[in-house]
Amino acid sequence: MSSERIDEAAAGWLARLMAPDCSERDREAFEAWCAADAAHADAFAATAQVHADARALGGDGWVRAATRSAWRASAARGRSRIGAWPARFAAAAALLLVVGGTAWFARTERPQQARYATAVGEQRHLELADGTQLQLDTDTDVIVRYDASSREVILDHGRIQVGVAADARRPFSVRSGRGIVRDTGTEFQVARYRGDVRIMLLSGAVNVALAGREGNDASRDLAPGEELRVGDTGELGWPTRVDVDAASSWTHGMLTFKDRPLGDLLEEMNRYSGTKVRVADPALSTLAVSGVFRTGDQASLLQALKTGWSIRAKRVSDHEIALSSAR
Amino acid sequence: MSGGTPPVVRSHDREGFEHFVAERAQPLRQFLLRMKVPEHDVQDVVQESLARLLRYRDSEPATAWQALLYRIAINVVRDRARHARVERSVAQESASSAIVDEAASHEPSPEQHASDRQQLALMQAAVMRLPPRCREVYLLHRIEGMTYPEIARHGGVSLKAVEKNIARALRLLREQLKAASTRNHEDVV
Repeated sequence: MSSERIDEAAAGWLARLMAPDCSERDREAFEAWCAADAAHADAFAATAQVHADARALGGDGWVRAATRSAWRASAARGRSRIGAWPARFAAAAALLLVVGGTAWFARTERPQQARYATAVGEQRHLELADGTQLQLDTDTDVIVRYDASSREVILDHGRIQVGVAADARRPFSVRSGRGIVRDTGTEFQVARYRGDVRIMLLSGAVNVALAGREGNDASRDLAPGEELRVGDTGELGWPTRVDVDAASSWTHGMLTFKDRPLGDLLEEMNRYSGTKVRVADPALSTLAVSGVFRTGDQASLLQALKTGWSIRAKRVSDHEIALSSAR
Repeated sequence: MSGGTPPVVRSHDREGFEHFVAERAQPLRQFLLRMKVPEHDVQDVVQESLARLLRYRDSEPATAWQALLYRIAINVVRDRARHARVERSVAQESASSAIVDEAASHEPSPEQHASDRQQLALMQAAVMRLPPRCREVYLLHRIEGMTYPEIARHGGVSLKAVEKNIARALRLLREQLKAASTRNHEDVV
């Protein structure tokens, strides 16, 4: 085989090995090819090295711009080929569409809807067509609905942080449970676990209203650094102060706790893992703990609890770890 | 952050990675035997390959691990062969042990290799010279981190078309970078 043919085959094999439907038989055939000639293995390693190096281009402004334009160009062709987006997304929603990275919606008169979800332990960052930044925490499910006159995000469950791009013509709102958050160009978080909704404002201003009672006086304005709860049965709470840095640390893959009950810490950490950590001794859950933990890094958490608080961890089943006091 | 996008949050798939390693260790042994690695060396090569792969756990998606593992294993095998040759020649010519160290550390760290500015500029130029469709698909995969099915859905094309474009991009990138390094070499000579 000529060296060009070998390089071509190597590239083909690399593309195959990264395909989600790459089978055991494919790997078998690849290995046979590789073992057949030292030049084959070398060409593969060199091609894979080029692919690995290409990752560094993610930091290059030019390449990032080209990637954004690739997104738009590809989506535009996708639309013209398959038909209107709403129909496609309706079908995709049933399949739980998961899209990574930057999401672009072309500005048309038709309403456009997309659903984004993350698995347990996964976090995602999206940039919407208008430049709005949307960060999804672990185990989160949202629908994004944009049309000519409004922009709406519906949070079914989980936690999001939104950095809203200003657009005077199209108001932005987040609906979750019984809460509606209306925004005028700002950054805020919405979390929904077991029905209750928590809204936390980082900067700018938002108004929180009860769903079904819009236009009524049942609404509250939030100031930066304030959090508000909306109960699943329609109770609208009053704003309370929160530590904004600690509350937004999850967007960097960290969880920051300052004198918070261990029960709260475990609840947060458990959202990122299939294996749940629980207290065997109920008194432990009120213990005040502090620390910065990497989301999903259960081992470090257990180590910190052991050394800092003399708490012993014991695996009681495949999906459960029980904590008890070592003393 | 001024005007830019916030840092992309990546998932740290520890359980998935452990599962991958547990599942692929045995097939890797078989592969190494096929690659004519002496039986008494196989375990060492497996260990070292998996240790090197660990560096990519958080930075590369799970779909890339298999190809990475092959590349790393081939590099480990080549490094060991080179190392053995150098050691022999060192014994014969009693040359400095610096040569040995240099030859032994062939595997670049994930950032190290490509952080070389010239390499990056060459790579950028090579990517920009790809045919449009091919470049689009490659960027969505490599830079945007989209899987083949995500790209296929997004662009309304078949999975096979995505894979073909990835293969084509890889071939053209390798071709261009090979030509560039040959040119550089000629410049020096």
